[in-house]
Amino acid sequence: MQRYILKRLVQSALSLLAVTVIVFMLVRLSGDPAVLMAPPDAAPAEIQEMRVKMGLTKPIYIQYGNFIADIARGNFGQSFKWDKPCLDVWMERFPNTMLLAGAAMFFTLLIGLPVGILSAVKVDSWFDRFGKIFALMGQSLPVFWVGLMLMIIFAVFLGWLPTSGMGSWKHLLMPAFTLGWAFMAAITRLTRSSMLDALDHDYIKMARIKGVSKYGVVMKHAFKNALIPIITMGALNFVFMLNGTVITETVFNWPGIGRLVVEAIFARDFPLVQCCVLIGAFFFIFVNLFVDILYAYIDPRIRYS
Amino acid sequence: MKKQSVFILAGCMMALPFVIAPFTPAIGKEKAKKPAGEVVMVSQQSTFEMRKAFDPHTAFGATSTTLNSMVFDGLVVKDAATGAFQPSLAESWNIAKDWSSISFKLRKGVKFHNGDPLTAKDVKFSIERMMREDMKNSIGFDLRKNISKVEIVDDFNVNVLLKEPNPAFFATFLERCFEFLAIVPKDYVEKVGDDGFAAKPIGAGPFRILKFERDVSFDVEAVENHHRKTPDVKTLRYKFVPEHSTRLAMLKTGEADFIALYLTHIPLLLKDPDIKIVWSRDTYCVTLVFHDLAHPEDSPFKNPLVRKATSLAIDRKGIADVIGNGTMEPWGSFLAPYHLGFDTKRNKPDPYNPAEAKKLLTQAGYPNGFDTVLTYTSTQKERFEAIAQQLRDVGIRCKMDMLEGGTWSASFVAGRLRGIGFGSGPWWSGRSHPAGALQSHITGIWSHKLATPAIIKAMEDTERAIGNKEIAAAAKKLDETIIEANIRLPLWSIHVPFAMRKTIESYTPMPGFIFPMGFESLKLRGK
Repeated sequence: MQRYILKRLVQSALSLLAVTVIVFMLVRLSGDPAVLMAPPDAAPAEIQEMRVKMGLTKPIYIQYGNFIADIARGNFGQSFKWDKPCLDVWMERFPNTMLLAGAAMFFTLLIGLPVGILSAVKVDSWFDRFGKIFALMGQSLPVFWVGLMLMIIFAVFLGWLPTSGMGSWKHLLMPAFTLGWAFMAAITRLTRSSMLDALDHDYIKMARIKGVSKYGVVMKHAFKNALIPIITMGALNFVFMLNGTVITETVFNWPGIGRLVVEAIFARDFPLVQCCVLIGAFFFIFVNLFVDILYAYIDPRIRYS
Repeated sequence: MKKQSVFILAGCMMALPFVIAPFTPAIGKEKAKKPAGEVVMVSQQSTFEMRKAFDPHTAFGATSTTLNSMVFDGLVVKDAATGAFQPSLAESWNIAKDWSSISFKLRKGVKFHNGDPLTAKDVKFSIERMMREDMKNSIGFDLRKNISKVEIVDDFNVNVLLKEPNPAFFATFLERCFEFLAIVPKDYVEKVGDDGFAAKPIGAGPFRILKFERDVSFDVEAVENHHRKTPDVKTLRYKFVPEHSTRLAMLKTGEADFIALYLTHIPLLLKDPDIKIVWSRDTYCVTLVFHDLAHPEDSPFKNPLVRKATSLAIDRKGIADVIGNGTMEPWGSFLAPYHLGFDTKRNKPDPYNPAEAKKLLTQAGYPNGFDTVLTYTSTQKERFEAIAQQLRDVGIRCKMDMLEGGTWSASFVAGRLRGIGFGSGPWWSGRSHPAGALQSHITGIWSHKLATPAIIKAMEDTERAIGNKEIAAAAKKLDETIIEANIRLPLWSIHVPFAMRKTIESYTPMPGFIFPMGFESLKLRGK
């Protein structure tokens, strides 16, 4: 187990390093950062001064070394637009995204899991068909369309909910449902297939023969064993939501990480874009590592394979 | 008895105002009226072109003008209806005859929102603060290049001295005094520091700030007895909403009273009795630039016949009718209606005549047409795709190259673009002086070195002109010279729509400004 964890740690560290190289190179490949950051009417002397200040006149390996050292110290650079450390800007917006992602995850699990389990238990019934259609719609209808439709129905026609922004719990309902919508469908499909697989095993038949209740068979025996892929997907989906979902946050005017990235791109604030991309990548790698270790803990066969 | 009558008469005279006052609502009512009500405004613009929000001296773009114009005041202001300069913090101003300085006489009795009185030291401090390199604003470089000293004559008189006489500088300086150069209280800024000021800004504008959350929202409250005009509305709540459809939904539900409207949504609101659309007219001119003229290599566009054919191949009216929804007006001049020298009769765009265009191309030696590149930004996608199709019909085959806004502007200024392409300008932000409006796009950094010696001379004559008559004559000559040189084709003047609910009785957007300003003139129905 320790060897497995060590191996995964080394792999994750290498992935992190690769991400930093890609981000570092992409910023430089898209042009001279000093020119990109300078206003259009900046004089050449001003651009050169900016280049010196940003350390762009040094050899590329020294620039990369400084870049890594800064990141290790938690210094993701100064936001060009906000005129303060990028990490501080990111931290200001993160709680908003955390709230939205948490609520979206709640909707995802609240609807996705029961529909998936019931579809599997009542396979080929009308409920299963409904579950399939629900999953198909969730994966095929674009998020921006779902968001706008919800807005038209619940805000414009019915007047039950506010169109956008942050404030009360009412402001959270539509963006959370919209964000959770596509993931909900994926979780439904995955839960159904995992449950079908689990319900087909001999130990389930044995449990039934031994007179375990229907609820006990489904929830205690089958669902527990079907959980592994669901946990993996759920965790990765949650990280995806935490990285900010540009479309949902833009449509519902939610001041989170997704909107921050868009604003940073429009303002050509490359240090901030770089910061958001790096932190997002770190999240993915960290959660992947965590899930892999959890997997190995739950299912010992994995570490030997 | 006579004496008694005199006393009675005198008594009646003294009592008269109290007796008739309730029946004379018009007298003195305007001054006594208190601001009331609330308006929620929603727009796509915010402070994203301000390095430190909310510090007006760190602005590097025009998107923050709405906020600036509410909270801060400049030395001059523009008339909401005509766009002409009016006194604001400065009662009057005078440019030296030798173009070496400008003097401002300040208005007495003006106070900032914190109660500090406005004096010459605040003006000197604000101009010098705007010039500071670390402010990294968009006009600091030009101010540093030209201004040698800001001199306090006395508490209410200031002179701005130039390093050397420069008429061109004055064509834009007053514009900057209005749009960017906010006057801030010296003592307060020095006491709280730059960061403290950005966190809690104090100005002398018609609204004081109540609450501010960067790129999310801000609330402002009317300043009573403001030296220019006490706003009619007590509270303005401004929300930053980038998505067009969300803004429309907010207007429909009544969550917003006033929104920046997207052009494709205009038809949806035309028949809505609860909504009124108002326009900021002539905000900028869309032009087609012949980039190849600035490069030494041979190009079909170096032949004037080809440039004329290009113009004749574009159906300005047809495109405007199909995709404009009233936002695009075919244009044939390099001046806007608010410029001295603009002549409606001369504003005649070339007609759509593809047959003649083909004939001219044949005469120029291109009977089978030729291939070129057409560059544009994503905001101009529909317009330039339509242009490309029409050019293809006459044989000018364009390889479409859509660029991200920042890349496009950097490439344009650096002269890296080839073929033909979208050109913003020549005028923008409602610049009143024709030379000030045309400078950067015709002879300056956005001209991409296309200006001919004749254009440069006509520009200098316009910059040096004194008095409306002389400026108008010089601007007319400048316009004619640019059209004759045919370095750019004027295509459309762009009008920007705003939609407001019936709760708002009236609001007149300032002509030429993409972003709404002058909210002290906004009136609520029934207030």
